[in-house]
Amino acid sequence: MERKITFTQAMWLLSLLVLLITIAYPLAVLIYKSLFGERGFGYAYKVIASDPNTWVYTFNTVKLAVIVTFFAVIIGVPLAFLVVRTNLPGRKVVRFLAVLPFILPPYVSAIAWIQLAAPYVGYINRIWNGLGGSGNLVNIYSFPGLVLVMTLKFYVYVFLTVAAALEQMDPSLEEAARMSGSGPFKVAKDVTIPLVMPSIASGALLAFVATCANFGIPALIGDRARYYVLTTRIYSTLSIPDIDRAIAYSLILVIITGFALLIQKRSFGRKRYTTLTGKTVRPAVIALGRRKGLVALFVFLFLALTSVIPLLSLFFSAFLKNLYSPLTSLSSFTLNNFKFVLLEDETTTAALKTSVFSAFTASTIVTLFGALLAYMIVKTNVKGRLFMDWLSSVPYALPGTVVGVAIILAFIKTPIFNTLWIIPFAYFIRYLSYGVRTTVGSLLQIDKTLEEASLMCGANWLTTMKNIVLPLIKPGLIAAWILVFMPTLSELTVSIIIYPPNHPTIGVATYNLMEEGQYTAAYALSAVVAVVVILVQLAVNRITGKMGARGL
Amino acid sequence: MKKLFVSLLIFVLALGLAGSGCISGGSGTSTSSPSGSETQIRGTIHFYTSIPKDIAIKIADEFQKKYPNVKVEVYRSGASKVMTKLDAEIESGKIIADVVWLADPGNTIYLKNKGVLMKYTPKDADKVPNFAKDPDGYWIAGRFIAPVIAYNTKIIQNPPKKWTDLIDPNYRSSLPSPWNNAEGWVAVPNPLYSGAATAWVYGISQKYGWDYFKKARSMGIVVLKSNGAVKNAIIEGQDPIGVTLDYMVRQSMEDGAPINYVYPEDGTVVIPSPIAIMKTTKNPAAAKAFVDFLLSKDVQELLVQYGIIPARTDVTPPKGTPSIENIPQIKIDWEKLSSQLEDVRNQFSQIMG
Repeated sequence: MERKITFTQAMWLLSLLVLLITIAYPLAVLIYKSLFGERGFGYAYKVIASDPNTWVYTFNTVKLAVIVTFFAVIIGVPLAFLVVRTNLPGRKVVRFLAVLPFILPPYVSAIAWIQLAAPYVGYINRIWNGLGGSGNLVNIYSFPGLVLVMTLKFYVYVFLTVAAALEQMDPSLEEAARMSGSGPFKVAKDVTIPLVMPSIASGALLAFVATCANFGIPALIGDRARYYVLTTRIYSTLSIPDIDRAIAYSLILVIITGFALLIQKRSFGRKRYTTLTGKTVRPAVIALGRRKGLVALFVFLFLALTSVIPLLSLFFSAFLKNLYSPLTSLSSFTLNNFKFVLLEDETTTAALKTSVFSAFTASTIVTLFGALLAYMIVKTNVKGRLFMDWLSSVPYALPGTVVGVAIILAFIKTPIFNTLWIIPFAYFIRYLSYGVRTTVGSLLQIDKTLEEASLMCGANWLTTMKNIVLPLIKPGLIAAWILVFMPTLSELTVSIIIYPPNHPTIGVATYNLMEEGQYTAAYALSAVVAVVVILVQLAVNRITGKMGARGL
Repeated sequence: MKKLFVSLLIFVLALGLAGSGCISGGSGTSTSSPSGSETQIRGTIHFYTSIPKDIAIKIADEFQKKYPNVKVEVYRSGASKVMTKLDAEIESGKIIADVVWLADPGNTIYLKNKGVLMKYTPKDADKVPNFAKDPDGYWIAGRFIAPVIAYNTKIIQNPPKKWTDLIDPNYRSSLPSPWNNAEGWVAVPNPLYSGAATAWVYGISQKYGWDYFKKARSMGIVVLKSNGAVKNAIIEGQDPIGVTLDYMVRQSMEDGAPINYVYPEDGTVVIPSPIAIMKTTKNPAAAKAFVDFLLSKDVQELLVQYGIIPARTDVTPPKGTPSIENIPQIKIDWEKLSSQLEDVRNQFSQIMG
């Protein structure tokens, strides 16, 4: 027993040190530098106070997020209702298509929409001109274009939270209302909507935060529309370089998103709705009746337009020799774009290696270290474990751009900076909470008596870990690994800020190809990313499905 | 074992000699093939540059053919990114770069003033005009580049002639719809990423004041990242007019793209694009040989094939290019620009934001 205590203490010390160095220190430096910047005391705050552009960017960020959130609710709520509570045909397909734009990296969605709806060369405008229309029918490089792409990306938050709430709702409440003589609309108004209201609000706040923190879409679409938001301005001020201004913008962004997340957590995060009975009753399904076909047509048309066509035309574009050659001639198509990005171009081939290496390293370390932290949080009563839990979750709650700035400030003078290792290091910081949260979930399900039984039978602590705990949390560990590997493989937001110039990531390389005007190469690389992401997601769905069957 | 190694070495050496003799015999010039002194230079040099990647790699390949024992590692990015990397290397005290070739003297003078450059006068330095060399001998131009007004020949019938046309509402209204009243009728490169764009913005702000950019912004000019991006946007017709580099347009014209350009009547900044050696180089012999090579007739003529105006006066510039003296110029003080790089970028991004 003596050995267990010392071992735990050693692990405790190690974990605390790692968390302090990788998370607390960069955040402390960020706050410190905002006070005592490169250009003197309080420069960052002087920037905020004196530069009217600061308020333009802040206003733009909030305005965009509010409008995107509004449309996210308009689309997400009815769609969730149709999928969960009606006899809409093909509900599984609807669910998959709704989530599809969400699993793609934001920059891939932006690129898909750009090649579809860019002025002059976008397919929509080419078809429009071909039909005799003049000028541009649509222009993705505009505020509505920006809202469109971001809404289609983030309405999933509303859709998923509302769908979950609808699924868990106790149908007897509605039945009671119906039995009391209420019509279907009155039931919806009096019972269903009030019950899912908290979920709508919760999903809306998540969509709001995601819009504020997103970099890829405003960078690729907003900049061309001269609609600048805080994330894109943080990136460009770092290129001046004007670190103090970047810090000032970062703080504003943290305040906006932090505030929204706080409301979300306070009001909705902890509440378990009383409607959760634990019975797995499927709520009553409303028959759509004669309008069923029409509704289905509308839903599938919407999903085709928003998630299938952009992706298909992206694949199509990836085979184009150049954007201005005629689409009708076979000689306009080539495999060279794929050959170029996968085999020939040194930047993109290096990027593929860098991203695979970084994602693999980060997800492995996050899983191992996350499991260690989770074990201490759940299974021990060491001092400061709640603090450690909280600290590990901070970098994920912050916008990625801000985490990038903090990492620059804290580690630019260390030998790790400007080497390949800074990328997995940054991913570790950003995604640690995935590892912790997932394993905490698995550990909570293991009853303490199992371990106690093992110890009583004479097994020591290590044997107990190996024979009892590890097998039980293994699915959780695998899930954590995949959860980190997926987003880091195509990460852009943090990478673009911290990447060493000779080690770009896939996200950075794609973004740079777009920025340098090598569009066809960018399309090919995005198409590759899209295929990989979708395939991995399908594989994950299978694995997690099996895990679910095993009961863990 | 040792015997085998020695005989192998002799065999390789003999092969090398025979090979070099054969090639030089064939071509009649000894400079274009490895000779005794050229095989003696060995090792790796790191070449940091903002010239387009295909050209940089081509040059490195040619050099490696001539100096078979030297490996040239090319790092290519926009001037700002190259400078960020260099700054980080200088800061950490571990400088990897050996030879640096950036777009404009502003950044190179900044390096010179930091005291990290090596003084070196390449073999053919006297063939390069004096205004394109550092008086103290720390850098020398390897080419000339100039921001020009380029346009899509399918869309634009009456191309602009001077910078002021780009802020003239009357000129804009002469364009076909939708560009006569839409944003993005003109695209310019971003000085935050491109050294040449920084020089251009500085030159224009010296001649017309920052008001020029305020007007440009209100007239709907868009800012793209790089000169290459602007060129592509013009060709594709997304932005029918733009500011980009002369040689890029000449290259695309050669490929048959619908693009043409003018050297604006009110003058442009002719940028001597400087080459320098880092003081810290671990391989000065190879670095010097490489810089000599960059200024050799072979490379200078190679640049001409890419539409670039050579630094050497004894190499004929690309067809249809005026001689440098005949290009209307805005002269700028590079020393002054180098001390105001951050200011210029900041001003520009404030106005364009």
